[in-house]
Amino acid sequence: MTGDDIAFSDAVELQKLLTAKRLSSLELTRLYLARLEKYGHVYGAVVTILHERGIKEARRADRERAAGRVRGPLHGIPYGVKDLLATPDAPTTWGAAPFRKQRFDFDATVVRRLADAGAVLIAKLAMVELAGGFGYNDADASFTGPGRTPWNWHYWSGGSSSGSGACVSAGLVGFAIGSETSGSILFPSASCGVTGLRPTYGRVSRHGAMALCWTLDKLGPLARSARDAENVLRAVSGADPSDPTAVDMPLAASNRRPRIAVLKNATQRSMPGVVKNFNASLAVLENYCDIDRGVALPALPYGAAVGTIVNAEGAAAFRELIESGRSRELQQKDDRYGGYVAYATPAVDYIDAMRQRVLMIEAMRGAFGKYDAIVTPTLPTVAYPVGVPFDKAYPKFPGGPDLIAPGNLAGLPALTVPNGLADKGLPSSIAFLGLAFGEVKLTQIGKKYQQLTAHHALRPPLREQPPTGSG
Amino acid sequence: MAATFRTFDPKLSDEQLVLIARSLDDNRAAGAQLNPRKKRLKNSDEPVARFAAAR
Repeated sequence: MTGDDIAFSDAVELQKLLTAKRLSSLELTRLYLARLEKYGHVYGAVVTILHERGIKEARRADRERAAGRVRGPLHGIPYGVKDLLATPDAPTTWGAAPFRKQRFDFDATVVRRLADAGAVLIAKLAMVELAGGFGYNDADASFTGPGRTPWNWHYWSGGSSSGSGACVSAGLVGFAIGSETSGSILFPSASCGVTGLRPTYGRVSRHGAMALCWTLDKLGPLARSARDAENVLRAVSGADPSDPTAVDMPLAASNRRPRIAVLKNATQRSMPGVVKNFNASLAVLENYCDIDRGVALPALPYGAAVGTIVNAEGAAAFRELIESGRSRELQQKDDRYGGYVAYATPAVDYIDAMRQRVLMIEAMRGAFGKYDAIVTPTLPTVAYPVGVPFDKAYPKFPGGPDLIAPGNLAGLPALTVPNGLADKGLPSSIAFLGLAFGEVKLTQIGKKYQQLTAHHALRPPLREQPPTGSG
Repeated sequence: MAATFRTFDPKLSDEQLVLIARSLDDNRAAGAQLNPRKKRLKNSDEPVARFAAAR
C-alpha cells in the first residue's frame, strides 16, 4: 500500500491495518499531519494543525492497543473538527477575523466523546465565518480565504463546513466533524464528493460548539463512507447534562427492505450530469429498495421560515458582535452589513416562522407516510466557481424543490453520498432524508449503495501549489 | 434605523445603508410569505414551543 492508498482509506479499513499491526496510530497520525501541512492551506481547508495533541493522543492509542485495550472502531484514527468546536490547545476562531484569538479552556462534548472513543484530534478545520449566519454570497467568506474543493482548485468546497469536506476528500484526515444549521454538512459533502450525515436535532450535544441558531444547529460527521459516518455518530451521540436538547435514543433499524420516495420534480432545472447521476443512483437503489416516484411536499414557505429563524436567532447569538460594530472586520462584504439586517428582523416574523414550523413538521410527517427515506439530488449543480457571486454562478440551474430547508426545520436526519462525477468533472451526490432518529436506516441504505458502487472511493487530483498567477 | 446602525459602526457607508435597506425590503417580503393574506395563520396556530425533532 502506498501512502496515498492509506490516506484515502476509510476508517474501517484503517482500523483493519491498525489491528493487523501493519500500521501504528503514530505512523498514521504523522502521515496525515504531513498531508495537512502539504495540502491544507492550498485548499483553504485548515485553521490550526494540532501536532502536539495529535502525537500525544496517537501514542496513547498505541500504548492502549499494545496493552490489549481497543476502545472501538475509531481507536487510533486521526480526525479534524470544524473550527467552531472548543478545544483548549488552540484558538477557536469560528472562521471569523474578530474571533481569531478566541480561546476556551475545555473540549467540546463531541471532542471529549471522540477522545473517549480513542480517536486522535489533529486539526481544526476552516469554515465559513460564523457558519454563514450573516448571509454571505461568495466563497471568499472566511479569514483563511476561500475553501476549494480538491476536485478542482478553482471551485468552492461548499459551506459552511468547508474544511471538513475538503480535508476528508483530499485524504488529510480519517474523518471530520461539521455542523449544519441549514445545509452546512450536506453542501460541502456534495461539493467535495464525500459522505455526510446530518443527525436528528437533539441526537448530538452542541456543548462547546458555536451557537448560530439554537433551534436548528446540529453537529455531525463527514467521512469517506457511510459505515464510517455511522461509527462516528455512534461515538458522539447521546444525552449530555451540558446540552438540555441532547437525548438518548436508540441507534438501530430493522432489516426490512427500505421504502424510498423520490421527491416530485426533484431534478427540475438541475445540471444534466446531476440528473444523469441521480437517475443512475435510483437504478442501483432499485436492486434493494422499493421506490415510489413523485411524492410532493405541501406548498409552505420553507425558505422564508428558515431564513427568518436564522436571522433572528443568529442576530441574538451575535448581538455583541453586531452592536460593537466589529462585523466590519468580517471577510465577506455582505457579511459586514448582514448582521444589521438580521438584527432588524421583526419579532412577529420570527413568531410566524415558528408557527409555520408546526405546520411544516406535520407536512413532513404526512409526506413520509410509509417511507424510510425521501431522496433528491443533494444539490442541483456541481460546486460553485470561486470568485463568482453564488446567485450569478449557475442561474440556469436553480433546481427543483429540495429537502434542505424542510428537513432542517423539522429536525430530521439526512445522509448524502457521492454518486459520480458530473458537469465539469466535479462530483454530484444523492441525499436521503430520514425519519427522526432514523439515521441507521439511512446508513444501511448508504452502506449497501457503497457496496454496489465505487463513487465514494474516487480520489481527487491534488495539487501542491495554487496555480501560477492565482495571486 | 440607519442612525441606530451608525451608532454601532460609524464607518458604515451610504452604499452599505442602501444595501441594508434593500435587504430589509427582502425580509419584509419573506415576512409576508410567512403569514400570507390568502392563507392566514389561525389564531389557534401556536409556535413551536419544544425544540425537538418530530417523533
